[in-house]
Amino acid sequence: MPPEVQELQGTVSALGTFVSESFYYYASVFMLIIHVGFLAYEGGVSRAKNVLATMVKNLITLATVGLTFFFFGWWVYNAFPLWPVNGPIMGPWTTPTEAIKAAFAYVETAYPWSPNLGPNTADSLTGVFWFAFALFAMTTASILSGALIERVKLGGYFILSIILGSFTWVVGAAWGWNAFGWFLTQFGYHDFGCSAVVHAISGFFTLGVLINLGPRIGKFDENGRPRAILPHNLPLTMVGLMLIFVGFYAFLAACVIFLPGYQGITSIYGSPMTLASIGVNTTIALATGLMGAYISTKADPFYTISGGLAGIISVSAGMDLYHPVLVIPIAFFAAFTFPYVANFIEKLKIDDAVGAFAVHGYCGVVGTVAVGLFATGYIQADGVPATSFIGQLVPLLIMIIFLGFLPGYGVSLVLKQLGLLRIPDEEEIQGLDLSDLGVETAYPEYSLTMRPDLRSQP
Amino acid sequence: MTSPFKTYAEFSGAEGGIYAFANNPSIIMALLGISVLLFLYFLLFTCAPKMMNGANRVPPTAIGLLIGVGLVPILTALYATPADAIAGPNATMESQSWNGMPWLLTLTAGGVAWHGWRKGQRRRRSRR
Repeated sequence: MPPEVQELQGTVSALGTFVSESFYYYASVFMLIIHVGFLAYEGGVSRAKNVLATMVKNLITLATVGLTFFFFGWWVYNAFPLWPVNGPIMGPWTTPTEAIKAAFAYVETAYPWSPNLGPNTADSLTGVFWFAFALFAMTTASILSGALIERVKLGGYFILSIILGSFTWVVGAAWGWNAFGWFLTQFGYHDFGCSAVVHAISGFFTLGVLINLGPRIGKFDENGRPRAILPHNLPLTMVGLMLIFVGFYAFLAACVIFLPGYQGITSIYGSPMTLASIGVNTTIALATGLMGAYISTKADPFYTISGGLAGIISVSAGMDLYHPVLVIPIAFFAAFTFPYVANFIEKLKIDDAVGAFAVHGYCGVVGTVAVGLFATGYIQADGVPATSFIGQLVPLLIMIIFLGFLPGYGVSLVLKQLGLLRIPDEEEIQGLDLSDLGVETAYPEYSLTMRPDLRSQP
Repeated sequence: MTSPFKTYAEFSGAEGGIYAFANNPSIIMALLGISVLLFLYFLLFTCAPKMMNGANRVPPTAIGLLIGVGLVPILTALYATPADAIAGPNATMESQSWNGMPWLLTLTAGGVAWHGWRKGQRRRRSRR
């Protein structure tokens, strides 16, 4: 081969690597906006006496999940795809056979001591994929964060966030959001934008925790009727959700696979798709979700804006295979019905402060089932079953029960027995800003103006 | 099966639409019809909130029925015979003529829904 051609090939290869590296790098940076949004969203929903503690709790999720995802979460994602059906849990103890050789190559890059995660001129992509997945993990744990506000103990919450963010959803991703995952090879499972893998798992995990955590003091009257605990700053919550929407465009874009040498982009299952369809369908789902929840709740501001997220989540699983005209009815259905689910949960005397179960758990289920109804018959790899209703339903049930509800319920029950789950009543009444952080108020100037003796002071 | 492909090779090598129902434009049109109706319902909700929310609100069953009957012509198109679908420019005047039956059905059912709503209104007024 002439040296000029070799040089040109080298340049094209380097450019391909740079495009892939840059794409995931910037998509992940924009994903961090989801966390800005969660911070504002939760802070706004809480009462003024809890706002700082609520926001700090959310912020520290980045630390607990970010570090544990580095220590073991990334390895879990790469080590669990074959287990328990097609092969073992892979690790340093594994001798790779021919059958698991391809999958094992990724495992070796996922140990926290792996040279692939450090500056390494031979591998520019493992680190940037770690970055994207770490942001996915933080998002998953943040879904739990909002539901527990104003009464959970910080230590207990951090343990729960690690279990959800760096383990259970990661196992779900290994099984159902991985080209080697047994949900794909056995069932033809398809969940492009993580309707179940992220949202349904975290929603059901949250439900399990909420049952043990119990409601906030004053949430239900002596007859068990729910009382509204109003957000202290609804505009902040609404801005927070708008930021979450922005971040979700990046989240869904980061679900796309484009690697050096590819002729086009694919889903994580290797099936063809376009980035353009994600832009169109996310926008349509957002618009429709807002519309559906607006009608359903007669323009309730909190539910209306949450409807946008409900719309997106309900079509995430299949948005690489949907025409926009299919997105509209699905997103409308989910956004129209999720407030009823939230009210039903409240009737069960479960205090979900942000409607996390209804938005993420319920809409995640709708999104996953929708693929089994409206995008059937797609064969995503040679020798893999076509997408089907059963192929969606069985993995979904496994995820929401064994990776969502049961771990959430079980771990929170243990924490409850150890006295690590809920703060004492007096601290809850006093407010977490004071008891957790020693801060009397997040709004000192506002407090001064409330004291008549100080109103005249400059 | 809603996929337009039968094998992985067809799917992975596809040039063109890969979305569900890509091989069935009539279903895409039906879904577009549903989407437009949902949006019109939303507009009605925002423009006439008293009619939608107040004491004189349109019953949800009537809205559902109206949306349902709106789908009649679309659904009829779905089940049009292949001969109708491929008639094209060489079709006879007879086959190209406007088929008013679905629309007649729509108007009739819509009228029934409206009548039901008015009847409910009268009943409510008489109770006052």
